[in-house]
Amino acid sequence: MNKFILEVENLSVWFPLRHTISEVFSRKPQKYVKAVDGVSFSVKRGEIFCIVGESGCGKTTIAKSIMGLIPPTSGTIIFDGKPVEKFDRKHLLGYRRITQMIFQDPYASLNPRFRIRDVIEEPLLIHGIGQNRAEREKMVKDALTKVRLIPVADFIDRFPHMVSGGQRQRVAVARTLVLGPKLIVADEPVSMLDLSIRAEILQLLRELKEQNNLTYLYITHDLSTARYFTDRIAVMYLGNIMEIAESDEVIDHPKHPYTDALIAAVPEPIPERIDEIKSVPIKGEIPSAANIPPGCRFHPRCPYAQERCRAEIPELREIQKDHFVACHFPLSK
Amino acid sequence: MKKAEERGASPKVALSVENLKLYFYTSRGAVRAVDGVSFEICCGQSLGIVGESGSGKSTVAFGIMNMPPAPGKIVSGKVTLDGVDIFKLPEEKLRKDIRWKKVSMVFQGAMNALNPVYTVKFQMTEPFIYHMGMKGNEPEVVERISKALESVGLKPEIMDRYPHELSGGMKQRVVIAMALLLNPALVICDEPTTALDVVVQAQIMNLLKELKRKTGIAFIFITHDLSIEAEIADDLCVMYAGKIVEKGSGMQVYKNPMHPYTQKLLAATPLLHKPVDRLEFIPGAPPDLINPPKGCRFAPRCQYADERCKTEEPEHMIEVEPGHFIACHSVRW
Repeated sequence: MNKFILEVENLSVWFPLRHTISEVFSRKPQKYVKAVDGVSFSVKRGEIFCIVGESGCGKTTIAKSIMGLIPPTSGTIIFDGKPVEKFDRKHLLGYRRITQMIFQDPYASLNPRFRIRDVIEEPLLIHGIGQNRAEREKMVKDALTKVRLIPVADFIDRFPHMVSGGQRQRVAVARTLVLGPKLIVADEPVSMLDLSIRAEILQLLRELKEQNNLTYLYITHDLSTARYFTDRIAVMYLGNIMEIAESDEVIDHPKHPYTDALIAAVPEPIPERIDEIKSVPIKGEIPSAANIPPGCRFHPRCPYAQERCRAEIPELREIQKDHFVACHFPLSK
Repeated sequence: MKKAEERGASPKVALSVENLKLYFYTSRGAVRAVDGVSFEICCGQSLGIVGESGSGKSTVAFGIMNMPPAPGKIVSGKVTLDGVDIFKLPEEKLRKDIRWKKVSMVFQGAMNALNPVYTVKFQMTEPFIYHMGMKGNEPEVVERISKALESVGLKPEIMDRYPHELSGGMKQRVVIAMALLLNPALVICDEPTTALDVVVQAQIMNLLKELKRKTGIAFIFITHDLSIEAEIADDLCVMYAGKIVEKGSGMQVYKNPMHPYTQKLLAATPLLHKPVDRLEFIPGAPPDLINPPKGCRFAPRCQYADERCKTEEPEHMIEVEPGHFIACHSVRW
């Protein structure tokens, strides 16, 4: 069996910008928003792989591309050794059954007119699973038990607005589990939840992974939960991966200046030093993906940028075992 | 809480809130969103109010300005701002002389607080017209707007731009500059950095720290994130279900939390540089504030709760160390 459940090779997703008539006549080239621009990574079977980045870096676009919701402009997505683009209709349906997604906002991702029973039964109907109603109901109840919405009878006939935010997110998890997925893409699954219940959901996800042999692709902007929850982290910036390594390694020994800056910016409470102004090594904000700087795309904000960074695009290379960095001058921390 | 004198700042009280109660009258009954909250802030000091969603922290802010959002009503309490009893003033005077002149606010999701069809200058001129009786075309107005923009680290030229021409961090700075325009005694920041990326968040935090030091304005920071508060607030109040459960200096509350809720909340916060195997969480959900539990409102979720906690409300806060108060029956210190 293949070691990797998911391999993404050189994936690009470009969105065309509006091309005006005068631009067409003056033969100006079509412009694109390069949301994802040549990204490669592999997710091992049974691991929790994390993509971390600021808003607008393309992390959700990658997730949607993997789910087959946005067609890639170029590059391949290989699931279980088979390229997804070559799937025919029948295989695609099967692929969509075993890769499932959990969305950020459980207030928006559940249909308010569906009872929890219907929310979880819907995917079974779409994929034609279960011979009859009784069998499907049993599956729905099993899924609810798995996410510990118990006693099931108390929840199954409620509408989403009748349960709390944490419980809604459990319903969203149950909806994916009912199909027996292999890969779950979780796009900021806890960022809308209160702090006191975040850990509960993450713990549940981790237990479900062990019980059901799942693999997670976890997408977040929050380095602290990423470190706590995931095995490996890929740091994205403006459509590219800047660094990939094991979670502890990325946080404790960042090699890319961008990762280093992200870590420095995380609020770290030291009440004794309340009046100190914290040094944030990088200035400004993430530029538009329609206008990507030449060379290393991070160089305009990088405190260590040199001539070479302005001209030459750095490749993602392995500088020590299992630690990949796209930088000409990696830090030695 | 004695830090003001140590630092040589004026110990004058900028705001005192006594036993504030603000209820929302709905068809199902009165929602006791803020139920007996008391605190005070000295000039040049900052107070953090921490709480999860629905704890009443934003409602406190509206109560301070005597601006209860419908169907809310202020039931009782006394708010003294800069020596003036707010609830005794007629609405017209409040609108003209208190709101924005004495107390201004940086709203939650400040990025959307700007009107997209007016320039920054136009929007920043309005407070001078409504509160200062100016026409808005005086050179003094432009000068004060330029100064305010400079004080938040923006170039005065941007006043002729429209909000969509600015980045998220710049918009946030504009909104902060607007709050400072009329030299208020108190600025309330409601989740000032929640919608921002970490790097920009760190920049804005630095700005707020600097302003606090330079201006002598009292600040209230309302957030759900204890680690942000501990970075910036001199004093901290922790709110749960409409009540303050713990207050003290930032150091006391963060380093030595005494109330079971604060302890659990801190244990549930993942820290970047302190990897843990298992995060705590608080089982259950906050109570329904129409029929709050008879005793302590946290009792149903509290592991230390005994008979007394379930029947008798902890009316008075106990001082566990100088300046550090909790509202709890069962903690022995």
